[in-house]
Amino acid sequence: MLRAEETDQMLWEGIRNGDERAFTRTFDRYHTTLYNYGCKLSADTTLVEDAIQDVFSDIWRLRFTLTNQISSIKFYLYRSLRRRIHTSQSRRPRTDALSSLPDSHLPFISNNSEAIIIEFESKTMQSRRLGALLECLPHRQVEAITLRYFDEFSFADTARIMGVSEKSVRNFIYKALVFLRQNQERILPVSLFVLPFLPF
Amino acid sequence: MQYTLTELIQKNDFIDWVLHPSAESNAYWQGYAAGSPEKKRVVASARGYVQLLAADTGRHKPTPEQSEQMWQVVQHNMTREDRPIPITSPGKESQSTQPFFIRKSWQLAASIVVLLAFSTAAYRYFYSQSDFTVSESATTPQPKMAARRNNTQKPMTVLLPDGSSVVLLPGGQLDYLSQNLPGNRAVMLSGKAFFEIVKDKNRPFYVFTDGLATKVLGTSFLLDAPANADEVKVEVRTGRVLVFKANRDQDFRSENVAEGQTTVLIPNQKSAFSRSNGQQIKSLVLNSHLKEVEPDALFDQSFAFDDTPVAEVFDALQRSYNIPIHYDRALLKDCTLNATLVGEPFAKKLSVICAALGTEYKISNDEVFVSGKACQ
Repeated sequence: MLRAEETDQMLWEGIRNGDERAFTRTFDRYHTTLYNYGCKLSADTTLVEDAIQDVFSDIWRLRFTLTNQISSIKFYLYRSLRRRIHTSQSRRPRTDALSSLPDSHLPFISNNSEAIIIEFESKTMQSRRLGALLECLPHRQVEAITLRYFDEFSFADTARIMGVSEKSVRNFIYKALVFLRQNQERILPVSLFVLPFLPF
Repeated sequence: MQYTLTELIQKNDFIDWVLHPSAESNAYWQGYAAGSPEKKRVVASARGYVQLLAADTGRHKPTPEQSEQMWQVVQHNMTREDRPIPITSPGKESQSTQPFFIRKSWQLAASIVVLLAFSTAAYRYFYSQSDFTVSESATTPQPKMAARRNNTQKPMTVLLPDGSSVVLLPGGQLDYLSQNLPGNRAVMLSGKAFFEIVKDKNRPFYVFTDGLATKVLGTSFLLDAPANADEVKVEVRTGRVLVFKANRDQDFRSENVAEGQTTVLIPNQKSAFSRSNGQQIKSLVLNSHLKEVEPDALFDQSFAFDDTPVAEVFDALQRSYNIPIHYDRALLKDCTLNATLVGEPFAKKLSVICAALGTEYKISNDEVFVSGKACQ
């Protein structure tokens, strides 16, 4: 490809000028990691999907009124998604089981995360065990880890997205690390030199 | 200066190094680690943690179907929003208007159907008169209705917008929505068809057959619902299928589906149900030659390929689905395939095959065009 990849700044400018292509590119670039983040905030994937749709729909609808004073599209999207999910969680009563079948009726359907865990298992046992441990952690700790290590926001931006102080973010992560170390001192030594950089 | 394990894991430039190593940072951290065996051990350990944390918190990925569905909704909202922009309370507004509008007009549609009578003819009549509902909510694009009738002597494949495929046998008719909208997936069938449904735990797929409904989350099965008979036959190939009695006037596009007592069918089980009372008339688990529903090429086709030349694979697909597949025979002549594709919809089968071959495909006017390069 000849053209250099557009910067976020260029995409944002494009959206503000009503450029549908820039909008499409922004969706392509961010909806996957937003989904990942959303799944840390709510286990209800339908709610997460709805929230992502709303965040993007709103951006397009309000495109001509968007500010150009934006430091990062990514930051803006994450913070909007978080707000959106929290509002719908408080509004929507927890009756998600209403329309879906009880899973016990349908053992053949594994949910996405299960399938992914199994795939991981064959790659690294360590990862599977860590995954199981992460699920024991309080949500906010997982959220902080996700934003800092997977999405690679700075500690400062992680704090702003979560609406807490940077000190709290470090605290969440510290507590999580202490818990992980206590519970899985064994998982790393074997893996240290075997593990190449994991793809993500 | 020596960092502890938790200090390192939380140190910005250390994290950067692990996730995006550069010559410079490599030199720095290797130099640091060389300081003592203890430092080396801690660096290695911290690096492992950062990698695992990053990989493990990034596991939730939307499926291609989910991505497509989200984008379709956003696009749908985009076209709807091309009118003056209300500035008030932007957050709340967009969340409920769209489903509300659609539901409202669907309910309206349902009640008109009731007024007209319950017959299929009346139902069709309504749709030819559907201008009424369109003008009722001119700013909301209506989900487009589509109907396919197989008047040929061969099976005909209908590709649904969610990626599922339905092989409609001669004489069958399928009514469906031509857009993939959020909410339940549903179609109406008269006649006989083989369904291969894309898995979506959150969006059940319903087949309404005048008085009887079949519900699945993702599976393959054969349905035989002749227009003028009380008996509806269901035969399950993969996954599980739920059958229940539905109102004869059930609008298949409605989100409100009253599910009465359901019967669960398992793979290789075939059953006949009565439309009038929703009861199971007979049931057997297939193991021998007891076939009440005559064998159909597709239903019996296993789609298990073991070092099979690509030409044979495409031939099998073309034959079963009756969809022409265009590809460069000379180019792909040395390609073979190992795959088992039981119960996957047509589009899924194709994408698995093309991914394995490193080729691409596109579907246009119910014909498939495969492009790509020769195999090594």
